[in-house]
Formats: sequence, structure tokens, C-alpha cells
Amino acid sequence: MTISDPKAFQSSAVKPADFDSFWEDTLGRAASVLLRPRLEPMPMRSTPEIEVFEARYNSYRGLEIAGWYARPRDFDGKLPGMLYVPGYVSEPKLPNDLALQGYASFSAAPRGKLRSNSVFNPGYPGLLVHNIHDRDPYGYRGFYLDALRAFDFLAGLDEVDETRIGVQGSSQGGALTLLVSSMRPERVAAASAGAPYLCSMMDSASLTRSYPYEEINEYLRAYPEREHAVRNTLNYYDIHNFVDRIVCPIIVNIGLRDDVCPPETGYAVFDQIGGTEKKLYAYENCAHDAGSGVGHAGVIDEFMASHLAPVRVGGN
Amino acid sequence: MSGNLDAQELMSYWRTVGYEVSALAGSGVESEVLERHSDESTVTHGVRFEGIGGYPLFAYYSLPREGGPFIPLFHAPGYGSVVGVPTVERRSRYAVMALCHRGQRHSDKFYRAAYPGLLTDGLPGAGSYVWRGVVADCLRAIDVLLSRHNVDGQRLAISGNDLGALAAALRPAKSLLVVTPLIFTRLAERAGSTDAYPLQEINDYRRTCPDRWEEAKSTLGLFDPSALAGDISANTMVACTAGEKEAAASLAGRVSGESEVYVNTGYGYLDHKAQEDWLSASTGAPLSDGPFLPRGFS
Repeated sequence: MTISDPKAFQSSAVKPADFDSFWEDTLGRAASVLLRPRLEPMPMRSTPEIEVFEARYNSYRGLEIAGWYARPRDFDGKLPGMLYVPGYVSEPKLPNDLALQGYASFSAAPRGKLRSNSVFNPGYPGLLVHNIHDRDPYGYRGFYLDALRAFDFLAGLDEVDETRIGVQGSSQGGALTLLVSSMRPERVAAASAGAPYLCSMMDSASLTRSYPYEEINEYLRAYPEREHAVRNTLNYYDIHNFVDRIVCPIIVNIGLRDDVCPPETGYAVFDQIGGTEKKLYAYENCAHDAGSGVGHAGVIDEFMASHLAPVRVGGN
Repeated sequence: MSGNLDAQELMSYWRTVGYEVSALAGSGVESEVLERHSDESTVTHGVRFEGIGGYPLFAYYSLPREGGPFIPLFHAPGYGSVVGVPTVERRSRYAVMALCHRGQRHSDKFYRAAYPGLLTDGLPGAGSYVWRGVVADCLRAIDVLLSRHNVDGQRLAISGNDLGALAAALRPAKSLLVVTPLIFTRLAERAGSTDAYPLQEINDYRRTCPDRWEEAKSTLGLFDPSALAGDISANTMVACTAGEKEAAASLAGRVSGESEVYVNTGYGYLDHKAQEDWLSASTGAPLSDGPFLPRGFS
């Protein structure tokens, strides 16, 4: 695929007629599993300013999902919350930095990530194409639900003000940020999605030879006869098809030289986002870093603070 | 390096590791073609071999289907559980070995690394520190790489974080590209000025195990590539963030080969291109078009 203007790109993702009912059914199945949130203090990772906990909750098909939770030690009333969702290959970070900024912060490890992979472990590479020929057992079905339930975990904590919860992440974390903002539209107060992955997925595979999308190219080289089935599955999971539900204030950043998540697909998904308070930051000469090395982290911090009013921690 | 690090202790420590790795020279190496990760112009193998302590290791090994001999390029593993299949950009120009060290996925049969946790696992003792085995895994993988047919053993290149610099000090690399983030370079000192992981693991350890800190610090000094940099004869680039410039300069300044520090601009595409172009120039490999396919709007 060669195009002359990334803004002119038109996604080939098509929302299936039964998209909404598929996800209502999926959410219903997940809801039958009690969340059972658990927190275990981690003194070794805690500091005089923040407390850190190992978190566990139950999710789709009863799998136990792990996460890290960190909060300021001293606070009055309720804390604003911040959900941090992880990238594809990276381990979920300890969200100590977000706790130091004054948030009750949760970093989730959806199924397949370390500490959440005793039952489901497709590996990397692997997750993107795990059962990709069939929408029902596709690997991202449970993974998406784990991210949504991570939000529920955070929102359900007594100390968290459920009207002030933000979501952020980059790459796969950017995709999951868009997903959670779409599927919890009245509950996410602000969102920041960086270099969003899982957008216009079939197009992305033809725009790049970089992993993870290269997994799709590899799969289709092995099973060319399954292209239609793969496209059909991905239409149910393509973030492009979720985001018209978003209503919260949101910022999106992309790199115009991103070989991992093609910028064309970033423009397309941004155009599709619902709501009126949205802003796109497109960085020249940036790749998958998407501006993180030239100050975008500060943009995110400022945006979140303006919407969520974090508490002061220590001398900060 | 730590000011009180004993040079003889340093040499003895790594000499012993070297002997243990050398003893594995005759042990078997199994290789199978991974069709899924091969394409029309490159082939990727899954390679299995033994590390010290009888530890089973896995690595991806990718190279062009035609031509050769190829420049052997060792990817020093990063700090995380996943090691990627070598990129199309690199495997089309080099014979690339990407090692999964003990504890990383595919090499986690007996030990699973924790994140956070890996950086301090086995401290304070130098003999029990898990990174002794990890560095040995790198050396073993390089030996396996150099034993592959159709590679030019005189042109070994290494890239990765400063774990790659340690490997370059202990193996005859001709080109060394060290990229951010630095881990072991002046680790104890740099950890004190950050609260970001993974370096924060060191602060966590120091705060919770104060009685063991001095011994731990001494152990970490053994792994500072600056201490061994005099043995790096490779043409070297140390690419770093502005915040790491001082540490990068201290490493580059001790390398016995030609060296330079590249301070990242923060624009990832430009920095990646500068680093890859440098590696091409240093090794003599063809220049890469880059991973970003031409779209016609640049």
C-alpha cells in the first residue's frame, strides 16, 4: 500500500452488523465472574511518600489477573485514579511515578503477561495471532476484558474518587486506553493514548514489516486461505470500530515516522473518536516514541492534572 | 567503576566465568528453521544450547537466504522478559543472534526473571548474583554465533544496552553499538539520582537491606563495563539520552578502540537512523532503508 498523505488514509476496518451484540454478550460473560479484588502490601517497593501493593483480580473465564497498585501515603478524602495500561512486549510498570504525581494508580498485567500467564500464555510473538481465525476464541477477547476489569478494580477502591479517573498508555497501552474509554464512556474522566496499536489492523500489516503487525503477515504467509476469516475476526477487535463511543476529553500522540503503528492509522482512529474535547499531537521525525523524547510526557501530565486534580505528594 | 574495586578481583572474577563458558565449547547446539519467522529473503532459526550450570538457553538466529559470509551481529538482551525476533531491517543485512538469557521467555525452564526484581536477584554476593550467569549466557551465545557457518568471525558486531559492552570486553568484537538505557554503567551512583525503574530496584534494595549494601555495591562494581572498557577494542558508539551523557562519556572514554558518544535528539526516527547508519559504516554492512517503508510523503 502506498499513499501520498497519511491524513488521507481510509481505514478498511468495517464494523460488523452484530459488533454491539457480540461485545454485550462478551461483557455479560465476563460479568458472571466476580472481580474479587485483592491487595497485598509490598514494603520493598514502597517509600516514605508512597505505598505499593501487588494486586490481583478475577476476569473472563475465571483467570486470575495481576497488577501493581500505588498510592500516596498521606491524603485526605478521595484520590483521583489513574489506570496505566501496558504495551505489547513490555512488562507492566510499577506506577510509582503516577502515585508520586498524586494519583491512586493501577498498572494492569492482562492475561499472557508475567504473573498473569499460568493459564493463558501465547507468548510474544504470538498474542496478536492467537486463534485469529475465529472471533470467539481470539486471544484478545479475554485480554480486552482484563483491561476493562482493571478499570473496574481501580474504580471500586474506597479511596478512589470514581468521578476522577484517567487512563493512559502507549502503543498497545494506547489501544487499551481507547478501548477502556470507549467501553466505560461515562466513567473515564480523561484519557491519553500514545501511538495507538490495534487500529486498522489489516491495513497496518500491509503498511509495515515491523513486529508486532508482522505477525499477521507471517500468519497469512502460512495460511493465505484464511485472510477473509482473519479480517472478519479483526473487525470485532479493531479499535477503530470502538472509538465513536468515547465522550471523555482525550489526547492522542503519534509519530509520523512510526514503523510499528503506522501514522496513517493514528490519524484515522483519531478522526473516528467521538466527543468534542480531543486533540492530536503528530510529531515529525518521531517513530514509535511518538514524541516521548521531546516533551510529550509533560503534555500528558498537564492534561491529566487539569482534568483530575491530583493531590500533592511530599514536596511536589 | 567503584573506587574501591580491586583490579585483580575483577580480572579473576571474569576469568573464572570465561573458563566456565569455554568448557562448554564442545557441547551440542540444536538448530531448527522457524518457518513462521522466515520469509522470501531471510531465514530465522531457533537455536538451543547449554549455558553455564547446565542451563538450557534459546536464541533466534536470522540471516539472509543468499550470499555471505555475513557479519555476525549479537543482540545483547534488553531488560524485560521478551526478546523479539530480529527485525527485517537487520536480518536482511546481518547474521543476527538474539539471545533470550536465563529467566527470559524461551529460556525460563528453571528460572523466571521478575520485573522488578531481576536487577537485584542474588545480591549481595558476587557468586550468587544472577547477572553472573546472564553475562555468561551472552558470552556463550556469541561463541555459538561465531561457530555458525557462513559468518565472518573477524567482523563480530554487538548491539544493545551496556550488557553488550560487557560482552564486547570479553569477546573480540570489532563494532559495538551501545544504546540507551544504560544499566550497569556506574549503576550504584546513578541509581541514587533517579526513582525510575529498573534503577530504582537498586534504591529499593539499599533501603530495605542496608546491612548488605556495601557488599552489594562491590558486586555491582564488577559488572560496570567501564571497569572492563580497556579491553574493548571495538569501534564503539554509545548512544544515550542527555541525562545519561556523563555516564556514557565515562564508558566511551575508557574504551581502547575508537569511540564516540551520540546524544539522542529525542526524535526516535532520527536517532534510530543515526545509530543504524553508524553500525553500517562501522561494520561495512549495506546501509538500511530503515524500517519505515516509503509512503511517498516524506
